[in-house]
Amino acid sequence: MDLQKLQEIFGTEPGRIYAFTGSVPEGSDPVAHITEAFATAAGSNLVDCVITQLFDSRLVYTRNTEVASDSFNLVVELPLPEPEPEVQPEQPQEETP
Amino acid sequence: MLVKYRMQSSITNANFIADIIGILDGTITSTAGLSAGADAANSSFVGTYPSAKIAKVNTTSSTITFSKIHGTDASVTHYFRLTFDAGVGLAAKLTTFTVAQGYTSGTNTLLNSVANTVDISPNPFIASAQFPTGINIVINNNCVWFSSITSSNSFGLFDLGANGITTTYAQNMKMVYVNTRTGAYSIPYVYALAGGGSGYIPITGTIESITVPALSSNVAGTAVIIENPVFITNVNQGYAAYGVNNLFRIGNNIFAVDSIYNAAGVRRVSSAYNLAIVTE
Repeated sequence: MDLQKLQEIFGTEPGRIYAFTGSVPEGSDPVAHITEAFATAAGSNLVDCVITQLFDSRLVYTRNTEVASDSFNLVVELPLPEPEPEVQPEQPQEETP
Repeated sequence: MLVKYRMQSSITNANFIADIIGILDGTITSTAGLSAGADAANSSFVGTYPSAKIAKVNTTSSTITFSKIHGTDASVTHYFRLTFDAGVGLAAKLTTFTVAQGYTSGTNTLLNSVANTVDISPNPFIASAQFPTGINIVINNNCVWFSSITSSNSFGLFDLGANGITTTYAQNMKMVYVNTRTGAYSIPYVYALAGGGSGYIPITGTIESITVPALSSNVAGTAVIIENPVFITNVNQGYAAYGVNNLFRIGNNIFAVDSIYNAAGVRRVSSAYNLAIVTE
């Protein structure tokens, strides 16, 4: 998944994006099911998250919840680190005749 | 309805929560209903509570969840949740105002939600002609809004007008959280048009208005306050615009924060960021 693209979509405010790796039972609402699973993984039903489907993946975006669960793989923590500026090799000074 | 909620230095955490929740759910509609920690003599209620628009759907300890029906599109309901801390007395605090697209009542779980830190605390009333301190609350069909000078914050949940995206993508929220001190907005669940990355996402940004109005006067020499509409647009939605209900852009620095003026008999409250909130 293109992390830069994810940052363009979700912005640069601090947050986490998880991929939901479980399955949604047939007939149930995916948003409600994944939110419940995320709340269970977080150990609280007072979680704040947005469930979406992008790039053929079910993603969970959250600003303040961290989970450790087999059902949720951390895709990226936002914002992405700033790329380090390239160091230009020093040019040897030309000697003047 | 505009509520000027004033407090005493003896207010407790429980008083503060009970007053705020009672004002929001419509069980307190006059100063007689306020708690012992409120300064009823200096508080006031003006206007009518919007019946059947706002309802308390859950109270769990210091976390209270409300539903709000859209003022003009009754098929749309979204949710907001207030979270209070355990601070004692004047150290009590409304810490978080969470906005959600949906809600599961069985588990008291918000669906597609984003939390906003607000940090509003009670403060004892100080009689001042210019800056009477307290918390001002606006509740009407189209918005719920709070302002506290002493906590240095004002914010609200406002209804949005429809646009082509809300027509096509029905789950796209039609309410927005606006920080009326900074102009920042947040919508937890909108449809982003991003090619292969299209889908529902949260968006944030800064509210916009077409022009900055200036304070003018008519031929009789009476001051004319020009109110321009406020819009929300975002690159992720191809800059499709929503009008924001009950929120206007007024001229730069023509009013102090929390000043109140009338337009055709309907009060407006001014906020920092040069906005006016309609109270009815």
